[in-house]
Order: sequence, then structure tokens, then C-alpha cells
Amino acid sequence: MSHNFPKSDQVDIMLLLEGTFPYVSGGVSSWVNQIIRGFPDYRFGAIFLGSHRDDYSGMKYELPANLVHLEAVYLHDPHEKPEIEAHDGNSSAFEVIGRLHDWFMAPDPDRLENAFKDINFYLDPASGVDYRQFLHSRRSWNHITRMYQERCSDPSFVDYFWTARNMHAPIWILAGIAGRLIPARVYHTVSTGYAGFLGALLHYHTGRPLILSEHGIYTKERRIDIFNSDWIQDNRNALQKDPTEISYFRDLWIRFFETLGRFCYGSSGTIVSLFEGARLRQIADGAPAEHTGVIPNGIDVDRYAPLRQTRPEIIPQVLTLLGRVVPIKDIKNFIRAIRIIANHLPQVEGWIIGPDDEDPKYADECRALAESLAVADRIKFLGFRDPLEIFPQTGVLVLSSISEGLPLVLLEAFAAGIPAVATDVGACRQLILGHGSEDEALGAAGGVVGINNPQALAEEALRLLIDPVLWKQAQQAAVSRVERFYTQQKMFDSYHDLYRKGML
Amino acid sequence: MTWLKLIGYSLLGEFSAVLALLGPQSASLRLSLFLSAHILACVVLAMLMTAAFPKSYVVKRRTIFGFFFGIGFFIPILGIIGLLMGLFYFRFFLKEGNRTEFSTVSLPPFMTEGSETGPGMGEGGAWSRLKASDVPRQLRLKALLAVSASSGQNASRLLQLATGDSDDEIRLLAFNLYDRREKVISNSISQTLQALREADNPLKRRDLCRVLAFSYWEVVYNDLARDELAVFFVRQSLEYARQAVELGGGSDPALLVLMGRLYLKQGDVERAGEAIRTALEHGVHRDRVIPYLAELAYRRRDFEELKQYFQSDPLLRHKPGIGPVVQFWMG
Repeated sequence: MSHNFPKSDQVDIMLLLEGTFPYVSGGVSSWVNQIIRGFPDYRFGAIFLGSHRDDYSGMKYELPANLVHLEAVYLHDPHEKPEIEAHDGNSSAFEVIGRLHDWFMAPDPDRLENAFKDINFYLDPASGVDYRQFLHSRRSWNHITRMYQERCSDPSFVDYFWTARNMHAPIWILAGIAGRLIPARVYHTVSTGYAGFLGALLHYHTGRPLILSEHGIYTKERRIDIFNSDWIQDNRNALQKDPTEISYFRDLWIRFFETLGRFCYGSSGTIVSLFEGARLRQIADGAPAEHTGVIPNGIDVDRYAPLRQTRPEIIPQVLTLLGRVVPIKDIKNFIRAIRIIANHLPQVEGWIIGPDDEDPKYADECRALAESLAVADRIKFLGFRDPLEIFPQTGVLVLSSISEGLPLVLLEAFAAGIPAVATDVGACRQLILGHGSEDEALGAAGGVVGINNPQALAEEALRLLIDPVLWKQAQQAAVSRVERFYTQQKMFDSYHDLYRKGML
Repeated sequence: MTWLKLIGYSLLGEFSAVLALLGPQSASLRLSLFLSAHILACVVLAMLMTAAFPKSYVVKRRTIFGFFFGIGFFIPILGIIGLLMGLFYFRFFLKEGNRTEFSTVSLPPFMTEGSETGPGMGEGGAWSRLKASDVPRQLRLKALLAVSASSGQNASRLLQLATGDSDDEIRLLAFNLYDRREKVISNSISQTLQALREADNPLKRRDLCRVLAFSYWEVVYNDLARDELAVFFVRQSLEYARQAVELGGGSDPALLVLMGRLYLKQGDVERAGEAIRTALEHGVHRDRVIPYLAELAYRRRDFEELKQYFQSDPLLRHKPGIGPVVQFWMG
């Protein structure tokens, strides 16, 4: 898969991408594509971090010409391991690891051991703990067993051992990448997590600045995944179980990602969020306030504007949800809302536009729900489609997510002259109702409802579908808002400034 | 508009009655003219008052009509003015009282500090912690997890409420826990629908329709669907219950009781009564259906019969759910 990748010996900006462009389609990936193409004078490189190679079916985007270097690394694929041989491990380095695990219990950014910022700690067996020591040394075993005895509330040591191993192994893979990666003038990660950790290591190793642009809040989204996951074991029996505690392993994974997040925040010179609420959340999660800032997404309005002329006179009785079929988008909420709307508008249709191969089990559950609600014939799973093709046939765009950043799809729909109904997450309220007096004066571009409330979602959508005057007003507000506040040029200007300063 | 006209007629009637008293006619004629006009005014106003009276307080409409008529009739002029004021209040200011969700005052300091909450945090304890936004997040998360460990309507309702919490963590965990409950039933319905499509004999179809009826009901019973969705689930449940009966399940007492409950939900008292009586004929234990029979009697406003049902089972007052209702009626 990797032999066709462009290669270079240095780049201006190295993008660190976890589970997004170019192998996964979606809002963040589109944004990355947009950014690379928006700065044709800069030479970009990208590291794609994925889980398993088989989880990705191929590139979803054509690579821009100025993406001159690309690597894909699969963190959980089987990889070459050092030969097994008995050894004790570096005693002073394991003492540092012990202190780090104590620090995790009361993290203070000023007291983090400097050793962890040095990639040699992970790569050089003499000064730190290399991968061989982590996997096979006696001190590593002792450390894991001590942690289990002192902290683990799950009875299974086997599960604890393998959880600890699988959780930490990518750290050594990432340190290896940081040690051999081609030089860049600026590192830019679009999430914390593993990509953010890699960015932090690269920053400390090379001295070059790290920019973090968070679309969703990574730790929050991992938390959702971890709550949803069935693969994380809980081996406590009825007598051991405290119903007020989540399972130890779930908690461990959450704390692990929180720690990676803090490490990344601490090393980023600039921390960008998409809206004020997200910025405050970053600060609450450990980001230094003075490094944070807001740059909203922007889109190429001219690309979508002509669609306003191609719309039919009457409002199409089609509600479109544009997004991946994954739990975070709460597609089920949309399906339930269609059930309610169908009681009033029997001809209504719900189109779900987006790939359904990321979480096939969830996609099956959605289809099952549509069937149990007797709307299987009203709900169409149309897979990935070009929005330009879908928008003219859409009456109202719906976003039923339980978590969002600043969804590009809302801006695109607005530019195409389509009002929207969205859940009150991320920046959706700001996009639909406006933010600040000047913006709010433009009016409502649709409706905002609480999460997991299909009745409210249906009522708002129905209100727009059956009232052409209201629909027209919402359309006007949508178009005015995107044209005034969310243009691509505004966003490019802000990032141009950041890149320029970073390259000094 | 009709209301305004009727109010106008009643005012005109009362005004005419007063004028009649002051007229030059004989005393008996003046009295009869006064009474006719006064009675007309009182009847019209009492009718309007009865119609505007909150439904939840109506026991017998005739009694209410008589009461308002009495006020108007026996207190001329002032009574009419009083009724008009009452009507104005009922019409424009009185709203049907929906129960509002309570919110708690701040918890005592030691409660919020105690992180060692017992594993058996009950619904009430969990509720009070969840509703108090000044309690540390960690404790509220624990409360949420405690709620999720219990089943039933209250837990679902609490989880649903928590999905609207202002704290992201609480909201997302609540959503996940709520979704897990719903998913189990939804998948079961889908699998049964699939099996029903493939079923090739009436007996099997009957059994599958029965499962579907109970599965759809399960969603409503656990309060996992509200408003119009709940109406839809009741309709679906009833539809499959009917199909099961048509396919030979007419002597299945549990199914008949379910149908009774579904009709009750839809407000069809007659069919509900019929289904429960048939269930009794087919051997359902009387104790099981007493609450529904009592509810039917209540809907018919036959409170004597209602009390008889409660009297017939002395243990009923100690049962959860129905117990407090029995204690209210029987003292």
C-alpha cells in the first residue's frame, strides 16, 4: 500500500493525522484536504496513524500535488518485536517510570519528568527503557505486577497485563517514528491522542514548533468510544462489582488518553479550537490558556452557491443527514425523528449520506431500528455521495450527533441554501442561531434541539418542511451567515499567519 | 367567538333582569320577568364555567353545573360578576398542571464530601445527586452508574433526563447507558420481525406475533419511547397482539391482559374491559388484574366499584406501585 506514497527529504509543514485523511472520509479529513490545497506554496508532509491496516479500504481523497511526503503507520498491526531474552532492565529508568505513574495520580504540568520529553528515553537502552526492556525485562514485569496489586480493581491479572502492554506499545512505535522522520519546519497535529504525543516528541526532539488544531475534543470522543465499546472487559463478579464504578480497564484507557492529551497540550505552542466552548474545554483539560485560540472552519462558498438556483420551487420532502454511520452521529435519533415526521407527512424521506463501513455493527442496528419503526422504506442509506448531487434534493439538513466540533457539513448546506436542524452540541447552536449580536441579528438558520430527543428534532424539522415562509427566512439567514462569517479565505488567513510565525 | 357571544347573552340577560325589577309592571310580572332573564343569564354562565373547569377536577359535570348555577342564581349581580371573573381566570390564566421536575436544594456538606458512597445508592440518592449541579462531577457520574444498574421506568426516565445535562461527561455517559437499554429491545424486535417473515406455519407466526407484541410493549413500559413514538409503539404492540389472537392466541391470558393494558393506554375503556374480562375467563389470576379493573372503574368514575376491588385484596396496599394508590382510596 505504501509504495506509491510520495517521498521527500524535508517539508515545510508535517501534518500528524490519526484516523483521518487520506484513508477516512469525514469533516476533519475534508478540512485537512482543504488546508493542504489552500497553501500550494508550502510543501506538506503527513503521517497517517491508523489502528490495523485492514480497517481501511483505500484512500478516500486524491493526494494534493503539494503533499510531497506521506507515511502510513498502523499502531496495532503485528510488527517486528525484539528477540526474547532474559534481562533486568535499566534500574534508574524504571525508577523514573515509577515516579511518572505516581505523577499520573496528581498530574502537575510543571513537575513532569523531563526524561519523557527526550526520545532517547524510549530508544536508548543505556539512558532509558527501550522497547525490548518494556516487553521482556524483569523490572518491566515487576512494575506491571506492582501497579496491578496497588491499583487494579479488576480481578483478572491476565487482562490487566495485556491491556497495559497493548496500551503502551504504540509509545515506542511513535518514538521510533520521531527518531527517523524527515525534518519539517512546523509540526501540525489535528488531534491530541497518539498523533499529539508524536507531535510533542517531535517538538522536543527537533525544537520546531507544534501547532494543535482540535476539531472535536479527542479525549471526549475517546471517552464516548470507550463507553460504547464491548471489547473492554469487566471481570468483576456480582459481589466485587460496585455499580457506581465503571470497569477499571475502561477507566484506565480514559486516563491514558487524558494523559496523552495533557502531554500534547503542554508542548503545543499554539492550540487552536473551532469555537469558544471547545477552547474552554481544552483549558479545563490542561491546555495553558495563553496558548489557546479560536479559528472557526470556513468553506469555499462559491462552490455551493450555484446550487441555490437549481433548487425546486417547492421544498423537497427529504431530510438529509450527511455523516458517517457511527454512534457519535446518533443516526438512530434521526431514524426515530423520521418515524414521527412520517405520521404527519407520509411522503417524507430520510437520506443518510455517508460511509457505513466504519462500524458495520452499528449500521446494522440502524437498519434494524428503521425496520422496527416501520420506516425502512422511508430511510435510505445512500453511502458516500457528493454533496453537490444531494443538496438540491434536500429540504432540510439534519445533524443528530451527540458530539461535534464545528461541522463543515452545516456550512456547506448553508452555502447551498439549505436550512438545518441540529442537536445542541459543539458549535451547532452558534452556526444556526448566531453568536454575538451582529450574527444573531441575521436570524435563525433552522432549529437547535437537545440530544436524544427525537420528538423535538421531528417537530423542528417538520416546522421548516411545512412552512415555506419560515423555510425561506431560515435559508436567507443561513446564506448570510456563511457568507459573512465562515468563508474559507478567513480561515486561510488565520492559518497563514500561524504557519508564517512557526517557520521563523 | 361563540364564547364571547354567550357571555354577551348572559350579561344582557342579567341586565334585563335588573331592568325588569325597576319597570312599571305589576310586582308578580316584574318578578317573573326578572326570574326568567336571571335564570337565562345564570344557565349560560354556569354552562361556560363548567366547560372551562379543569378536566382533572371534574367528577360529575352536573354537580359542577349546579354549583355554579347556584352561585349565580342565589347571589344576583355579584354572583354573576364573580362567575365572569372566574371564567376569565379559567379561560386565560389556568393551565393544565403538568408535574414539573423537582430540583433539589444543595446537599448538606458532608454528603458531597463523602466519596465513599455505598454501592447500594438508591434511586432517590442517585436522583438527588444528579439533580444537584454543585455536586462534584465524579459523584454525579457514580450516581448515574448506580441508576443504570437498576431497571424500569424510573431509571430510564432519569437517564433520559441526564442526557440533557449541562455537563458533557454526564450527558454522554447517560446517552450511552440509555442507548444500551433501547438497543437490546430494538435488536430483539428486528430479529423477531425477520423470523416472522420467514415463518411458514400459523402456530409459529402466532408465537412470533406474541413476542413482538410484548417487545414493542417493553419499550413503552420501560419509558424508552415518549410522546408520538410511544403512541406508535403502543399501536404496533396492539397490532401484533391482535394478529396473535387471530392466529389462535385468543385464550392466552397474558396476551389478553396485555391487550387490556394497551387499550387502557389508548383510552379505549370498553375494549380494555372486554379484554381483561376475557383474560379472567381464561384463567388469569384475579389479583394480577385488579389494578387494571380498578383503573377501568376509575375511568368510568365508578368509585364504589373501585373501592370494592381494593377491598377484595387486603395485601394490595403493601405492594409497590399500586400500594400508595390503595392507601389513598381506602385510607
